[in-house]
Amino acid sequence: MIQRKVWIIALFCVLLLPLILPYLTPYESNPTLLEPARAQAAWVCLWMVSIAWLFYQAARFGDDTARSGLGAYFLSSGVSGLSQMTQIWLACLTFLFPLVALTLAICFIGAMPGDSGEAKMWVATNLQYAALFLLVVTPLMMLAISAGSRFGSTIGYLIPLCLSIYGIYGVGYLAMMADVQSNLVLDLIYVMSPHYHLADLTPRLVFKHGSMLSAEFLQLVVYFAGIKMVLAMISTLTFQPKAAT
Amino acid sequence: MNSKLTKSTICAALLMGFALWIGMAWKFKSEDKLSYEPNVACIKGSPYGKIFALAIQGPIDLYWHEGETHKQHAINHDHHDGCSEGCQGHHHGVDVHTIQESEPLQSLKDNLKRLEAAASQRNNSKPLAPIHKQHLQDVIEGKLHLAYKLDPANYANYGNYHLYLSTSNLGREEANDAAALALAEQTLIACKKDGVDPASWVTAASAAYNVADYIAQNHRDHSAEEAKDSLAEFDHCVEQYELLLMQALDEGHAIPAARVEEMNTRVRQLMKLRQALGVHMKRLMTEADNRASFSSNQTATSLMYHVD
Repeated sequence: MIQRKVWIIALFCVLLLPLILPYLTPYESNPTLLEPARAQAAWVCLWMVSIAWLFYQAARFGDDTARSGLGAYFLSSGVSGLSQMTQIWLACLTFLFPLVALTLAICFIGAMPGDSGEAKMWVATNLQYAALFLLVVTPLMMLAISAGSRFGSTIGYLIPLCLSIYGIYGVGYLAMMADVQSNLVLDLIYVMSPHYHLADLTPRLVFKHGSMLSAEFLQLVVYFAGIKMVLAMISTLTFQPKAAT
Repeated sequence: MNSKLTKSTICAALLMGFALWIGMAWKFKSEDKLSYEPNVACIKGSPYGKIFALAIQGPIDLYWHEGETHKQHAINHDHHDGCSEGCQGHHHGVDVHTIQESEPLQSLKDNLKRLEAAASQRNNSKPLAPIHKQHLQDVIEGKLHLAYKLDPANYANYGNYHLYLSTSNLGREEANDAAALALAEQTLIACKKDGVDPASWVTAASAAYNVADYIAQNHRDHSAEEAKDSLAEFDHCVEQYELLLMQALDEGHAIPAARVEEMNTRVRQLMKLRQALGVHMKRLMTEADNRASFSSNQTATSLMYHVD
């Protein structure tokens, strides 16, 4: 990863773009635009980096482990496939967590509201957002690792990429289709789709809606925990520590 | 992994995960929490939406002028000998008649502009087929709608979209007054939330004027109170605009002078229209009063005859 220096681009996106992009808005005539614009840029950049880069890294790690024979070596020395996958996943988290921490720091330092009541809600919203974001992204990273180990890095990357984009935007368009034509199959697909857009709290930050109610937040946590369990189990079954001969 | 226990644990976890996933999804569906309008990167309505809303004006012009940009269209067409209907509501950025050729560099730049315009000039004498025109119109409507969604508080976006909906002169078969009224009311609500930017209140004033105008046009369906309230709403928007502008200038917000002048010009135009509308409404109310007193006299007379 360090050899390729892609992490510099990721760091630039997450750290510097939220500081630069808000100055493209017409902030001169309305200075209150700067703070929500900064928070919006920070979270959107984090989503982009996670989807565009972290999933690819995870898929590549899975592919490399199987293809290089490292997985087979560890397997022969008693490290199970599940353990290997978990360790690769934890390795991926070591560069996901700092990016989330940076995003939170930008929102807390660079976009904190002046009013103390609003500031408390701002902190709560951002922490809720971070929790939901991790519940969405981390299982997809695990899926990228396992799919990468079995099908190669390209397919390993495309599966979580498509799933995340479908869950964030695609289901919205599916809902429009389901509304136009009343169809049981479409309705079922719609309900059973992963509604990742529920974890996107950017509008709450941009339009200052305040934090989510605890009960509603917990319901979302349970929902995403369910998806996480399913994806984690599918990943466990799919992970292949040594390349098929 | 191969042991029965591991497999049954995975199966149990898988089933439990599915149960939580589908159970919660069903609950969200019944509470209508799943429905949403996709908004990529939350651009629509955000500070960045304001930039994209300005950027989309170019593509709108391109479709409006059937493949020419606004400047190219200004160079390729003489707008003084009877503009076609497609020119309504536009201000051309480059006036070909004022191009000076005093300096060689300027002359070269002008020639380049002419060449660029000639490259996209329409030389086909046959007009576009109706179905093609309909397609272009649909694209324009979609883009105007998108521009409005990106920044509803932008007075150009609101004005263009409202004009498009409320007139039948722009190639549409009939005006959609109900949609135009809904747009005005929606814009008014959105703009009134802004407590900082005076430009939002210019848009609010414009929307308030459109609502009042609609009431005047459909005065039979509205009471005098509604008419008065709509004019009071307009006055409030203008007052708020003046207050926020003064506040912004006092606080040193760097609003360009040209923008301030543009906003003031728009507000002055709206004020003139409002004055005329006020007179018109007063006349309508007087006529309505006269009709009411006339009909009550007639009723009294008929009752008298009946009693007799």
